[in-house]
Amino acid sequence: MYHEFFAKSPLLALPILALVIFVAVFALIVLRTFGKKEREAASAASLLPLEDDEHPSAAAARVSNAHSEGRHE
Amino acid sequence: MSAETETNDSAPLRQERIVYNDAVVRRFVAASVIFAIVAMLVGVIVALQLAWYPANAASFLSFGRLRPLHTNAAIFAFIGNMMFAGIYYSTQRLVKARLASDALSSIHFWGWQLIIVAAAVTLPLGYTQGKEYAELEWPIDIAIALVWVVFAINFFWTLAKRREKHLYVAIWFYISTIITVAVLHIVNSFAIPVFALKSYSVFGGAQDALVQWWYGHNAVAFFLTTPILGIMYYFVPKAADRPVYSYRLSIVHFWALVFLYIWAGPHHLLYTALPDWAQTLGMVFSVMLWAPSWGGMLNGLLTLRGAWDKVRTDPALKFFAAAITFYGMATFEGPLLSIKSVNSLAHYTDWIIGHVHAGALGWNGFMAAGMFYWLVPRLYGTKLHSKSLADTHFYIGTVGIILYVVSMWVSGVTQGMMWRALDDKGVLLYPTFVETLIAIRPMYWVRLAGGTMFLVGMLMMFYNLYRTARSGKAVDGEATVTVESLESQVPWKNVVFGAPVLLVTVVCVLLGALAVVGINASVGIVALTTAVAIGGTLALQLSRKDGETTWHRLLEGRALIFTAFVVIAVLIGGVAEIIPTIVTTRTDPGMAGAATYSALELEGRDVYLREGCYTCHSQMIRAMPFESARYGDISRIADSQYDHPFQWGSKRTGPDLARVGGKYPNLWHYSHMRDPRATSPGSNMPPYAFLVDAKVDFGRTQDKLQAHKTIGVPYTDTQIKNAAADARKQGGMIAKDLHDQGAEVAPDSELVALAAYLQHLGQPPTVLEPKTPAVAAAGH
Repeated sequence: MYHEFFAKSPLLALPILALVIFVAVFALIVLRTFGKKEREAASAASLLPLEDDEHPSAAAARVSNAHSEGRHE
Repeated sequence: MSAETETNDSAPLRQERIVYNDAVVRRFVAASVIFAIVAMLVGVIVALQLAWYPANAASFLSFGRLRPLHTNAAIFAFIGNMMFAGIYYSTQRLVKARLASDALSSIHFWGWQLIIVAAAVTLPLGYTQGKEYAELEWPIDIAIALVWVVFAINFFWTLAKRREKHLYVAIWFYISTIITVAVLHIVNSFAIPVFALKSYSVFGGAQDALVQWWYGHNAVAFFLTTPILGIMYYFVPKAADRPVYSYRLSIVHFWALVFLYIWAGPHHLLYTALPDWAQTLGMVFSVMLWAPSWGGMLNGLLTLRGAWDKVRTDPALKFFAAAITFYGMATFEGPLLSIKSVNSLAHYTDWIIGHVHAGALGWNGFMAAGMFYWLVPRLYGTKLHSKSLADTHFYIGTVGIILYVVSMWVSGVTQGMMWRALDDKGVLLYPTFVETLIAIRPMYWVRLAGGTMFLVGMLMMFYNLYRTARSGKAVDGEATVTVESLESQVPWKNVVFGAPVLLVTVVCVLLGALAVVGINASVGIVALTTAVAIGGTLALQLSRKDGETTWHRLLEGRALIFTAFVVIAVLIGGVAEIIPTIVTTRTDPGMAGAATYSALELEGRDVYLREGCYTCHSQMIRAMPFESARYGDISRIADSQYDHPFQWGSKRTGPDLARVGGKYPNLWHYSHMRDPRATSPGSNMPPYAFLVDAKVDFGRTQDKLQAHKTIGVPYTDTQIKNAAADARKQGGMIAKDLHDQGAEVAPDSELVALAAYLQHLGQPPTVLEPKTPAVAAAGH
């Protein structure tokens, strides 16, 4: 009984509608991120991972990077 | 370690010197690399067993027992330890605080390794709950919950001590991981213990199927995806030395992903006896998931723009770029496989195995490798031992993945097409299951080659990292941080009652109203909701002034409120799907036909669970003509109502067993178990001759029936009291039947119990009078 109710319910159209609205809104937002304004508004937060350790592993890693890049060339 | 410095302003800014706890990171990295090799070695062994059955060398090394070991080791030991290493390393640096407690960090590490060892011992010995990716028995489940709580305390305590107010996107993903995995694990593990290492899930049949795949799918989402995305958002910018492509996109990526993922579990149960509405929700939300998944993939790949020269030279970036590409591939394939028509072909076939390995090897395996190649030189203050060896690992690993995935696609599509092939009279073209297996056997060898190549790459990585570590010495990162004043925090009301929250609340209330209004009013409400959602979003965007702090930026400064919002976003989907299913399946009148197991059948079922038969055999005939033509009437929800846990399965290396009862005589089962090739030439099933001599302990049968009664199976007190006697009597009848046909076996043999169970499957309700035990199946 419950299954039949749910199987025939017009409410089942709602997830489809939600899908369409969601994909449209999402696509708009993604396109917007490619815009100039967004690229300029580089949030300070996005720079957080780029702060290096001070001592001593970061220094060693920099040596490592320089070394490996030099070797490749 | 701390010093105060005066600044130009009147308020003093305190500076603090931090030494990060990198010792625990090193331990997790080492454990992850070692367990990766174990997991993949077991993977290669099970791949060999599928191609060449004699590789099932002993009962405790048979496919059904090793396959759960493989999956548990890959997910929880390899990726689990990798995740903890990445989370602990990046979190300390992103929040500028040492891990809150060294003791908790150690307990977390050693506790997790102890759990892995417990799994490695108990799974081959056959102690299992019989639920995929959640096989571990109840004492280990409790240990997992406790260690996870230790992890959570350590993590959130570190956030509380943070010197950086704003939480970076990686931290959001870690928060969602910790919260959601805890909820999933605890709910899915609800079970009633019978003995020290034996329990039955409190959920049965369709309820258990939904809960299990809500768990199983979201283990992929919140154990294998969200923490690794967090790791991507930290380590890819770090290795490329440039910020993430779009911070705004990461916000949308995060919230869309955590909200949508939780709804998608039912796509594992399409065309099954699960109610249609739940199947439809699972399918549609899976398709929606494509968008945020690709948003995240683009964000990761575009972070590398302008750094592609580095990708060519830096092994870590090479692995990251390939991993993100595999993520894109797997998250495109996932929604595709969730579309019902595609799923009808792919489900139960090797296509699914190929799909999960594109994710597990390509996304998880390569993200782990990239992170290790970047991290280990820094953890030991040295440079990578051999860049060319790492490059070789990359190429051998990539070719290995491609061989693996392509062979499984070919195998899956081939077998799926053969299963459904009908002639113009509607008769199966390939009626014998084993001929569809023989057709794909060559692909099993290709898969073995691909998997072996990936394992060889991991061995190269192990050697490379080991030599790297040996060439340096353990160093802990350090930083000088400025302690920010908490007085600058925005009042919590501004965050909790911010305009975006109010907009989402209004939309949710409108959607909720749909449940109580008529059809005509629904149309109006849908239009209104759509208008409010789009109009509100536009209004929020347009009202934003340049340079103004956004609401989300405020939220990023409030860890507790952020966590609360994550909990709400995650729970909505779970509650909306699981609660209606539990309510409706409990009261469904169609349940009247459900049949309980006799005492002996229940014991036989425990043998079936122990041997992991569900890893190769489904018990769910889908609502499709070619399924019914091969296996019998489609499965009804009542058929498995008393199955704790459900055994619908997810893969058919062998045929479906939902209606195998009564199909063959007892002698067939006796011969088949002893030597599957005797009855099914070409089969790759392991032999189970040891079941003939193994004995069922009927002293425990009564407790098992009692436990089932406690969780709702309608056994009478008389049935429970006479359980052992009934089981012996039914065993005696089957043994006599076999004796009459020339096969000698004891009535309390495990093989007899298993035969009793199999003969019950799909049969009409068994009469379970205490003085005349169930014999419906015994007379064939």
